[in-house]
Amino acid sequence: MSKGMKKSLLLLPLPIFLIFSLLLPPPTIASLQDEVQHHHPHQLEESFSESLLLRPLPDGRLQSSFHFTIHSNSNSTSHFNLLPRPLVQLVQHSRASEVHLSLNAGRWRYESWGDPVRSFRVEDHGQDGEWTDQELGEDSIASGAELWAILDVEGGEKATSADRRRRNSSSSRTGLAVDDEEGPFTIPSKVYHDWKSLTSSLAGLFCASLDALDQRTTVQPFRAFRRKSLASVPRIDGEGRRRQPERLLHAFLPSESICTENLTPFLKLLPCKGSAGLASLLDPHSLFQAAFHGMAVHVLKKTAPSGAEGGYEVTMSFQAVFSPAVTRDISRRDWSIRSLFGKPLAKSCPLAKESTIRVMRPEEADPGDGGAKATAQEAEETDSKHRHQVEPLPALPPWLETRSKIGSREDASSRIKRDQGEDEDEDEDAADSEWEERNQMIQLEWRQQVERSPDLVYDAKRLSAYNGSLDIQMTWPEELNFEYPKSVRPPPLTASRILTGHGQERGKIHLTLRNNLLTEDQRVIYFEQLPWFVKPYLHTLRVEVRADEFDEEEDGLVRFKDDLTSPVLEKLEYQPSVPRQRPLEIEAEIRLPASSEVHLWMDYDNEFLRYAEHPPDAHRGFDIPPAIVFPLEEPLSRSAKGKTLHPDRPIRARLGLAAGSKGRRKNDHGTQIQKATMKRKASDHDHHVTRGRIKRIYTLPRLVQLATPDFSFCYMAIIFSSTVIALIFGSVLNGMVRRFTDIYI
Amino acid sequence: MGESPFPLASRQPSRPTLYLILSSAFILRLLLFTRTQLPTSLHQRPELATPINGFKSLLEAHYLHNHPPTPIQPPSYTLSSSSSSYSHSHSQASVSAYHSGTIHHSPLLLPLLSHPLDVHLSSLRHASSQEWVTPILWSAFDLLSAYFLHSICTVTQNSKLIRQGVIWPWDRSRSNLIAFLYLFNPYTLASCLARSTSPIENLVFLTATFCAATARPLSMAISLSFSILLGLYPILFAPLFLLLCYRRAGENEWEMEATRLRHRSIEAKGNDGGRSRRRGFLSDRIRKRKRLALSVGLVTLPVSLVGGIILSRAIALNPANELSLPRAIAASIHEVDWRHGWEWAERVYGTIILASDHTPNLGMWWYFFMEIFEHFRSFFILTFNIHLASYSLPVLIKYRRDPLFGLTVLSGLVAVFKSYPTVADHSLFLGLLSLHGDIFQYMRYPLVSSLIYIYCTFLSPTLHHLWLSAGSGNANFYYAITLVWALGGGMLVLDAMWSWGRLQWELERPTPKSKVSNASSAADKNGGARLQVQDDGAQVAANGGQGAGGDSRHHDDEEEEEEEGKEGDRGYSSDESLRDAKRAERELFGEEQEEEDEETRTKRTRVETESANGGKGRRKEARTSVAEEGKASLVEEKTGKALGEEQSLDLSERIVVQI
Repeated sequence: MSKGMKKSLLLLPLPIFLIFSLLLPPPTIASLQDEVQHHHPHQLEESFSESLLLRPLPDGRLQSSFHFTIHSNSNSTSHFNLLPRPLVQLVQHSRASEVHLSLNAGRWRYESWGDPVRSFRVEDHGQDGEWTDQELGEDSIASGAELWAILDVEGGEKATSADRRRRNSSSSRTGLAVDDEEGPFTIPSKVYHDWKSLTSSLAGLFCASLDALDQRTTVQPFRAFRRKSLASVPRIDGEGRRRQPERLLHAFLPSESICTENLTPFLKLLPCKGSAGLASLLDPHSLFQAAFHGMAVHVLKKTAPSGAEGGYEVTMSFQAVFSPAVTRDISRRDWSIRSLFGKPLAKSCPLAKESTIRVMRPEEADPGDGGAKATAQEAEETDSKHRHQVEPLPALPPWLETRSKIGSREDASSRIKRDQGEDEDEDEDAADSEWEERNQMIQLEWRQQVERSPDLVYDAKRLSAYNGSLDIQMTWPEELNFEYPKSVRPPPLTASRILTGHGQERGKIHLTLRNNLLTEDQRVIYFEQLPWFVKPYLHTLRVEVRADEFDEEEDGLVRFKDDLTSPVLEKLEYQPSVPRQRPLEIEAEIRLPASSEVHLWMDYDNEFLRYAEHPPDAHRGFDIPPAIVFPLEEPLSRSAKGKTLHPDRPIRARLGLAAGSKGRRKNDHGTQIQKATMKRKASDHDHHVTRGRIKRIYTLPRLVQLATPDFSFCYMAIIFSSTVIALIFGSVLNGMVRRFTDIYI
Repeated sequence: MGESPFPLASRQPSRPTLYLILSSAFILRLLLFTRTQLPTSLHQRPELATPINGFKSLLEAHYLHNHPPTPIQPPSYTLSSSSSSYSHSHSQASVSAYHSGTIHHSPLLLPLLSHPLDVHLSSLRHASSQEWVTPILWSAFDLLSAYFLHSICTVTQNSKLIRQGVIWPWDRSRSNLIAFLYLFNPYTLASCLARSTSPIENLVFLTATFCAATARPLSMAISLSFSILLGLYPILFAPLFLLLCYRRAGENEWEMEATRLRHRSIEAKGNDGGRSRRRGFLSDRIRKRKRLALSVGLVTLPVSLVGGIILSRAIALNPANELSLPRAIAASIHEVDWRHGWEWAERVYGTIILASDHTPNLGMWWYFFMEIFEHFRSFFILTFNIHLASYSLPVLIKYRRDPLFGLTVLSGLVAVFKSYPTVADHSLFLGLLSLHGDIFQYMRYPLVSSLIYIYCTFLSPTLHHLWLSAGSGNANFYYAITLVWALGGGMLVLDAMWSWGRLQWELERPTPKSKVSNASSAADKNGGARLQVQDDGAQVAANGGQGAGGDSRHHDDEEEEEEEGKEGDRGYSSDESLRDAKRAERELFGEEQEEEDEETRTKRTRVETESANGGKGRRKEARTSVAEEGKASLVEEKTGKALGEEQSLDLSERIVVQI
């Protein structure tokens, strides 16, 4: 072998190494960032993190929700690596600063499943142990498709100048030229053009019929939806109104369903596609069997504090609710990743900065009389039958693991030990026992901490800690048969909307809102978006409060009369519908007195559609999109209430209205106290509802039956009508020109 | 009837009867409103309430007007936001409620009915309480309509009789009967109970008719333009209204003169020749009157229309009545560009013309435009509108001598062919038709058309139920019944047209004119006219005295309808009288005439007696020339004899026009 050959053999791994190093994530990004630095004033920072939330629900089902988040500080149309190019580019093209798309099938049961979103405090282990709030779960769970976006009206300069011109023209008596197209409710034509381009391209990208979203289904909410970057809960005062240069458009497509053809493009947008990481669990066969499943895509254009554009944040989520206890022959709610998704997690995505699986411990439902079982732990203690096991438990996190492995002799196989342990060979024996002890302590401590913690966090990037594949199992070994809980703790607020009436001519919308809090009023915005073929009569809007009855002595609760008598419907804003042009939009601000139901009724007439306006399956009916209920603010002073509660010191039901309502003040002095029959114990007050903030509650979409013409009768109708008209017209003509004269024969 | 040319109360139909009818109708309505569930069950019937005139949509319009929608961006043309000088209360701009596509009522109704609708809305909120305002109001609309019909009938009959010179022997119950028929017509009653705006539209239409019939061009123009602004279709009647007003202005003058002369002749003879001379020639005055009426009508109608449109716009642009009305008008004119603020017109009139709402109704439009192919839609909308509009001019020409009948015919055609008809339109048509009692005897198939009306009245709710509620029928069921409605209505219109022509033939039959002129050869042409007038007076008296037995002729070719039964004998006489009155009128109004002196009047009286005999002879001849009536001649013979016998009696009731 010549020297030269040897040299070349030695050099051979170098290019291979280089090639592989390009594939490896951290150096790749770093190197690319270096590249980008030349073109960009600031560094390209991109990150991809994924997480999976597995949450056993009180009724034996299991919520699984995948989150894929990509952050980027790039504003350019092409200088990014992780951002999904087709999605971001079309968002850029339509000049949208926020796009939210969701496609769902099935019904989210708020009553038993609660809020889909759970927030957690996460320790940022890398950086000084900072805590950040992380929200998992997707709250856009409307059946069908929902799309909303914030679109720029135009370049800010132009819009303001147009504004100024308009204002000038209207104030001056001469009346200069005004934009004729822009009525008070119409979408500006440019915005509408952008919206159409957005819906069309999203339709193409996700294989959904979003293209059908046009003026007739699109509304511009006043305050219901807000920029995600701002406070996510709308405020009561009118400040939620959007500023001129941007428009928020919202549309529902309730008849759209989700299936594999939507999932495939979804997976393609992810950095690791569907081949590695958590996305590899997204198996259409198992997901679309679930009772509820849906996906959502959010694209946010971030604004830097300085006002400059600060890149994009793309969040993609997939959510499914499995019912292990229902689908199997033996009614057991045991589940594992394999049983849910068909395979365990075997590959981690190297591009992901973070990849976590978060398993929540089951929150046991109230078994009848309730009691003070606030946490799952207490429930476990009282009832061993419901004890569950999770296998495997989360491995030691890396920063603990490093420490433990430094001292462990037995597991000397790892390279870490080789790298770091060499120097410590001298005092091996002394350290040995010490490290051993410490290691055990750490293990024990970790185990205890895990046992105690309400949720288990697995790092899916370190699959090696779980022997290469992660298959989390949750079992209830002592539970032979899952018993469906007789009563599930209701969420603080429930909403349902039904259509009543008979016949195809007209009907009634009946909305029921229930405040389950015993002591606190809640305020909500009821957002309704009715298609033009349903014509509601706003003057028939009737509101009624049905309050639960308390007994003062037993419940320790007092209800003031004005709590119920003062108006419940505090504000009503609407945008009227125009047949074949735009839908009706209602935003009503409703106060829900504590522990009561608020009912709303409204009559509507069905429009009669032309024969060509009916879909091919006209007799199925037409979908009415879901109504949305937005809780307006956190119920006030929740924790304080629970403490002051005392049987012989009644607290009064909170008058949760903002200060300044005249009628209320007046009645406060009146002290008309309504007594009532009882049934509840004072101790129930804080535990009978599940806590947690719900951002919005979707009601179900509804079907409305519209009368159909006889589709095969077009020609006949034309012929018959024309005949009758011609007959009468001819006879009238005859009568007009006829003169009566004598004829002498 | 303030300036009534008929000072004698005895000429009016019996007042107590009228009051009895009105009050019983009022009480019946109130009872039905308050004691039954009919108002709630009727107010959404497609036969009674369309989106254009339904009570529920009226309430909605009222509500939305008071609770205007919140604009996404303040429009450039609201009254309150555009100018600080006019805005007082509302900081936030509100826009016109007519941006909503669900309301189709004229803005003019909103301030007028604001209070009753408020009361009704609040009573809806508190389900237990019963409000009385809207029942009373809607009943009052009907009563007023009936009263106007009554007055129209009185006026026309009086004018006829004055021309005939007969006042006493006409059937006084006729006007009352018409009021009764209108008020107790089930269609009118149901529309009233449904509280649709059709009773208002009918009332305004009848007001305009009444004003035209009493030759009040100003009030006619105002009420007609109000009617046009409410329902748009009355615009087709505008030429007829003008013509009616024009004719009636002349006739009115003539009648007043006739009355004046008669008074003079009865009360004080002589003494007042000077005064009559000072008044100028009658024909001049008549011409002047007619021209004045026409020009006033022609000027005020467009002016009041434009005024009404401006008013509507101001109301529509002033949601929740933020500004007072005059201010709103001023602001809407000054502040808002003329290209804006017309949403209300699109909603109110655009819907009527374009028929964009396909809610089933009695008309022929909804199903046609539901089923029509999209690319033919505009063509057929054009066709349907032009078809209906095309009746206006021919009717005007054909019935130029009887514009009131022209109105009747056109209202029938509009009721059949309008885009959103209800039975209230048919009740208006039937009400107007009842004014022409003299044509009923010539109708060919009143049984068929009345049966069709009954058939449709019962079947259309049934088929509607089968289609939309039970689901056991399809849309064609209800469509078929609307076709039958159209056929029934059209048939009645055609029948009325035919019988009117037949009546005209009866009146204008080429009588041997030479005889008349022979009989009155001594007199001039004008004298001939007088002769005939005189002749008719005799004839009427004869018939009146003869009683019901003598006029079997009038019943031989038709079913007995309520009107004819009571009217037969008088109808006959009025036919004859109408014929001659028409001729007299033609001669009087067509040619220049001088006012006559006292001397000629004395001559006339002499001629009158001769002509009475001559007239009788002519009558006999005329009767025998009718081929179809063999026995009529016998009747006539009797009549002639009876006349001779009862002449002394009749003389007491005869009043001869002695000009």
